[in-house]
Amino acid sequence: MQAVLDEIIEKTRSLTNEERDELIRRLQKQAETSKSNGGKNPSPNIEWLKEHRDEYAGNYVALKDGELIAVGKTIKEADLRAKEKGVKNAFLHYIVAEDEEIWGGW
Amino acid sequence: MTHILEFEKLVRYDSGKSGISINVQVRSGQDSTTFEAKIDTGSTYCIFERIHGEKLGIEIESGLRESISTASGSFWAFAHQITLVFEDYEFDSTVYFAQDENFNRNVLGRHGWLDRVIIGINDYDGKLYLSRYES
Repeated sequence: MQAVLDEIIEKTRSLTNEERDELIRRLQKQAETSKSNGGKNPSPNIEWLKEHRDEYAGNYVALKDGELIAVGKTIKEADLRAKEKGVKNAFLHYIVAEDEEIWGGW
Repeated sequence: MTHILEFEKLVRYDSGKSGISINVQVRSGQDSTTFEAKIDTGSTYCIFERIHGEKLGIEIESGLRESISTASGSFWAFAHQITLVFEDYEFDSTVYFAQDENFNRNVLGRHGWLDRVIIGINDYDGKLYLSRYES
């Protein structure tokens, strides 16, 4: 990540003042958008889980922007089914089964 | 029969310390915080201290509430979607922030971390081999 950042910074050195101002403007806009969607309150996917977790207990769900894309017994199954539907980076979450404890480890 | 696995990264850890820990960064929007978390294959989810969620500006109690069991009892934690970053890998995942501010453990569990990576452990030499799972 640091290397990518350094590369971007290096490239900005050749920008004109106007281009640099435009870049700053766009980055600020991106940051504001990210802030508003950035999960300070639960993301749409977490809101979906709150509402539907009991219906899909014991399964992996693949979600995108608060919508169910696919379901699978394993993460691979849910991921591949989401990809078949054209969603590459679905948010994948396992919902524990009703009779399954969430274990904290240690 | 011999089985050969190839890994992208080798992370060295101090095998003299308790547990196998790696540095993780959690990110939400423009906010991020970095800390050490233990790999815990026995933990259902990734569970972090409340303070780390608060540093991201997250309202902890607004997440999905779940009871987490341990050998000595249980505690409440809240699920949130964040970006998990470690060793140049990053992906969106569900993690749980403990409700109790005195909870002081950070673990990378099975769902949310272990199910997205391939790991190999050589504890004798303090070596953790790591790859991102790409289907």
